[in-house]
Amino acid sequence: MGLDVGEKIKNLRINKGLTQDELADRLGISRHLVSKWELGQRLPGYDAVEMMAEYFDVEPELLILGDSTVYEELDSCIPRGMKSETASKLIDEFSESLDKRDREIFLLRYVRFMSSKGIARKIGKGYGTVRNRLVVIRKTLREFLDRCV
Amino acid sequence: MKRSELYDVIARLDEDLQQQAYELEQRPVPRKQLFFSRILPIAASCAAIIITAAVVLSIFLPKMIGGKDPGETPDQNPPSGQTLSATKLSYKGLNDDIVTFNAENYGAKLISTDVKGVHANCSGVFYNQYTGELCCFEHAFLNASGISLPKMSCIDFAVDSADGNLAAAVIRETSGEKVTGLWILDRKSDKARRVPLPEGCRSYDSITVSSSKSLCNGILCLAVNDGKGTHSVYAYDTAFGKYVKLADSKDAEFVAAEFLAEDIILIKKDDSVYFINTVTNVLTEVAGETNYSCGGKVFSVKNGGWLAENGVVVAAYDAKTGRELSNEKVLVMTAFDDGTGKILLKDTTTGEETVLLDDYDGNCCTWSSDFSCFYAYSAGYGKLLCYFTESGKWKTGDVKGFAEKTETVDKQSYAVFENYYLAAGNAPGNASVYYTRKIVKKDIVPEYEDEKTDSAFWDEYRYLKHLNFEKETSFYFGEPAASGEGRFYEIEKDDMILFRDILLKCLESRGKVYRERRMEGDGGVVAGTLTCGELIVYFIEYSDCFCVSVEPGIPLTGGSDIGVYEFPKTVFENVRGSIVP
Repeated sequence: MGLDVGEKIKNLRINKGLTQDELADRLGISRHLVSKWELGQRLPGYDAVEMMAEYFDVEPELLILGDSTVYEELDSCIPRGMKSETASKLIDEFSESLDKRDREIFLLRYVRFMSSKGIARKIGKGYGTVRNRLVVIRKTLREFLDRCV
Repeated sequence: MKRSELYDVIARLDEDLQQQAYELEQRPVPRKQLFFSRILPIAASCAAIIITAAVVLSIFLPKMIGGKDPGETPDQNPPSGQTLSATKLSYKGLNDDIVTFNAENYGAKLISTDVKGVHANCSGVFYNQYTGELCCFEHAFLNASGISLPKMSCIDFAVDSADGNLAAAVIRETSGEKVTGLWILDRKSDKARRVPLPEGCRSYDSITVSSSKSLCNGILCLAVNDGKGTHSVYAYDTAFGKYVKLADSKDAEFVAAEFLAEDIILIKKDDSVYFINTVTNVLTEVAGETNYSCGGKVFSVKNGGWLAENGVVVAAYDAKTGRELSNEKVLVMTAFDDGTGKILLKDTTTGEETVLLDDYDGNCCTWSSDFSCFYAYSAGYGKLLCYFTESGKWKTGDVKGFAEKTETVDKQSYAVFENYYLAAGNAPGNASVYYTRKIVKKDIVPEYEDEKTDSAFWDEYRYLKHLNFEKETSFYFGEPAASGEGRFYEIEKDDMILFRDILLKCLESRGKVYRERRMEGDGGVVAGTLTCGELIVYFIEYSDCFCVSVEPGIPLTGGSDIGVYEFPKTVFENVRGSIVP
């Protein structure tokens, strides 16, 4: 179970009988960007999600539906009141400070919404190891963001 | 934060970071690719190995013992005197009630296995496929060495791939993986000797024994970081007690050194891979390659070649001279993300692929001891494959697996887990398929909306519910030391049962709000975590109570109350041990 925003956008577009160019025109963005979204190489910002949801007549939440546990884990790390833009910048910085293995685990979990078991298979580590590392990573992220408030 | 805001946090991450995450996700799953090169000589007088340009490949499908006629593809050049026989699925269970096989050690006599009971917490537990005996290296090592395993330590065993009685025992801390001791165990003589440090090395924590394949014929591969910027790879001869340095580097870290095959050592350094043929002393660099394997039958492994593939190009190398070869037909095993895969024969020149075995899950294959045959079993497909390396021909036969994953008896549902293991016989074309089955009674658990999408949660619930503390008198838990908090608590058996029931209540409460959310200003702090099987439990201490949440619940310091249960501190007053700090 991942965050298949791109897959959903593609399905909605195809169901509406649109090409990527046509969708890009409707939304006032480049086709290149639509392609990146659909391939999963980049996530559309929430304002773009809202725009697409209105165009396709669906709830925005439907597009960003993903493992609620991952959202909750992320929420537990971000100090109350911190803006999403600030949190993003700081998380960028935080991810640079991680070592290679932790970075891989962090990205796969919180950007690709991969399950712990999926991550363990992907990186060739034990499930327990991945779970333990995620606990440590979250704790460290919490402390890092708390310091920045 | 609302979900939309949380989503925005991720969406606003740097584009490069998102791209990196995407590429990570697309990266092939490691360990599932295996390539085998078949290299034939053309003339005995040739010193180098010359590759055949084309081979006619055919399938001969003989009748299986106990099975029906398998296939219909005619054999164009049936090999004479070669048959493929497979025994019917047979149960090779042990006395312990829960056993699984792990077919990692292809063709090894000792098969890693998980057991419950007296060896429940032991590492290095193996099943000997030939004698049927269970071997516990941890018990053997502790008895032979006479040492006591330090608290919060564990032992990793690298069993000699040529001699199942010899093993390297790497003692390390469970939290930070720091190595604290290195021994060699000889089960034949019941002796254990400490491995001395190489020259210039001050402590064992600068040593890395990278994998279970690090020991072969009494030679142990290990990597050393001298702490001053030099990284080295050594071979330690356990018989003579001597070190030989294989390679070193001042600017990059050697990640691993292991035996790919007898006499062939593989060294990984950043993105580069090196092979050393310890007979010819030839070092070959295979820069940038991501998958590799070594094999070859005609000249035996010592003179055989190896294959490297980076997802696009397949290259073959002569192990004796290091020369790159071409025009190879190679055996390729691929696995897809959904667990299914294929075994293919690939022409490295044309890229043409022939499927030999479909629906292969990547967990059941083996070589014969002389590399004359490669076997693979697809339980889902019900087929056993034998590939004859000498002739380049292959055969498949029917060996049906178990189709049912659940069974219902008297309206009670049972989940059925089975594992398969493949063993090469003593004659070419002879293999046996073993299986184990574990039948678990399915509990009736509360139904929640997310049950269908998150069965892993309920699998963990059932696992926890079945944890047996009869033979355990204490249970340790705490935060990993690397996080900076090293508090550990010991709970006696009876209290662990109480604890388990508390945790089960936490899980059952999922979806219900037990209490109002506390404000962070109340002074909550994570007091500790418990790793119990596959679960992680958070304890958050307040002035008058503990709040317990269980992953995949969430800690109380943020988010919703899913999976949170509040206990007044008085609940823990009767618990022996020091839960309350």
